[in-house]
Amino acid sequence: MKQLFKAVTGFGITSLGGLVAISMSWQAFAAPLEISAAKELIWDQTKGVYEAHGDAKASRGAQAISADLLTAFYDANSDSQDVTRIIATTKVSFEDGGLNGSGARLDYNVAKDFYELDGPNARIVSKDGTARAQKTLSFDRAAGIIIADQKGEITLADGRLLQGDSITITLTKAEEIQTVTATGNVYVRQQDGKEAYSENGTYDAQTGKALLTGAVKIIDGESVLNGQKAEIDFNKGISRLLADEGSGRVSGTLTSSN
Amino acid sequence: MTKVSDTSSKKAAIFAPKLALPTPTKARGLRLSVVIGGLAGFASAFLMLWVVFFQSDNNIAIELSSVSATSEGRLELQGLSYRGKTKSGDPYIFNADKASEDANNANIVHLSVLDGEITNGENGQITLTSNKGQFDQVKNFVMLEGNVIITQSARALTFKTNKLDGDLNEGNFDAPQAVDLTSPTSHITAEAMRVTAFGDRIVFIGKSHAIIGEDKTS
Repeated sequence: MKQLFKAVTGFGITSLGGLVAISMSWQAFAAPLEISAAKELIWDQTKGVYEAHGDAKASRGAQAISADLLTAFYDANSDSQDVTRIIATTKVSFEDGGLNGSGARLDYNVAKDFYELDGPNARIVSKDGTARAQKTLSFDRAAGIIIADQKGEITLADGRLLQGDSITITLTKAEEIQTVTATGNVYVRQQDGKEAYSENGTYDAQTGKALLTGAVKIIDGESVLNGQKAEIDFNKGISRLLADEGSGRVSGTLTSSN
Repeated sequence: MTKVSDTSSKKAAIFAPKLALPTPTKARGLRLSVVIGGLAGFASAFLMLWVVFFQSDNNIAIELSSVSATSEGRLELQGLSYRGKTKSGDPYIFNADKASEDANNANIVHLSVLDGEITNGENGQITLTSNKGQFDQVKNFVMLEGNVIITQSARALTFKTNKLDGDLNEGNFDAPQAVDLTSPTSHITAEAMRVTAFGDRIVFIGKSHAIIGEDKTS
């Protein structure tokens, strides 16, 4: 069980480590922004808008956004006319250093340094794994928050899986993972098939402690353990399955592997 | 009301002798009646052009340094300055080294080595230069060709292309060939271009590429 917990909570840390790389900001590159289109490029100077139609691509340094239609906005009254927002629609994909992603729509707010990738089937892929969301994958770099909304899911390259109605990752100023919070229908599966269910799950990287709460169920083969709360301390190597304070019971079925 | 600038006093010295200039070597051998007939024809043609300008409703004024007739009998104007106003009242001026009327449409003037300028409200000064072009003084329509360069002062834009048609009244321009645009903050190339409202909206057609923002890495 201890190993299961470790696998369960360790999952988020490892997989999200790849996502931190997305914090390489568009603004971090001082190179000019390049926009290309196969069909036409419309520049509306009164509105402060560029529209790129057909196999459109916006790129700056190692970052690139591609789609059938790209719309880039700037303040028409500013001298610099720096692009502040890019919206990509239809056949959307992006690359950012070692990351790439795809979805139905991408809204990148350059000024706020905020990515919002809409589903269905929005995903961000790193070498460590893939984050998916049916509704929205967002990354607020200024606030240091990554959110996978509605059936959020992270799959590691080795097969481990974390699902939840919503998954939130907070980052430190150094953009290291600070906490991971999964809410609603949390499900964890490691590559050997061990599974855990709970209503909520959190991980605090500062303390090294993880907590699954609400109708916790751990399944290891035919063995099933139920509790209201499960704690694990990675630093001390201690894990506990706790009963609900009202019932005072932990229930389960342990089945020998033989 | 169209007006023709008073060139009679300042330009007469230049203008008058050139009335007899066309094919001078041939003229020596011509009979006096032929010469007089030629002069009469030239005068008629000049009068026709005058009337055309006079009848137009564009408040057009013309200044020129000299006038001659081609071997085909068409007028050729040198050192032409052509002033007018668009429908919305924006003043413009075209200068050309040479100008001649179109053989089939007297409203159209063919221009060589031309430059022009339009003043349009918030868009400021729009300048146009090209190796040659045509100007329809009734429709206020220009067709420029060869090393076409357009600048717009308000946004410090410079367009370069090889062919461009323009409606001066509306400020709409079409460039059917490769275009290159530069501004203080961008550089855009495309296979063709359509400009509306003197550059408020620009559609780059075909494969297009824009570089936006200054390179701050160097």
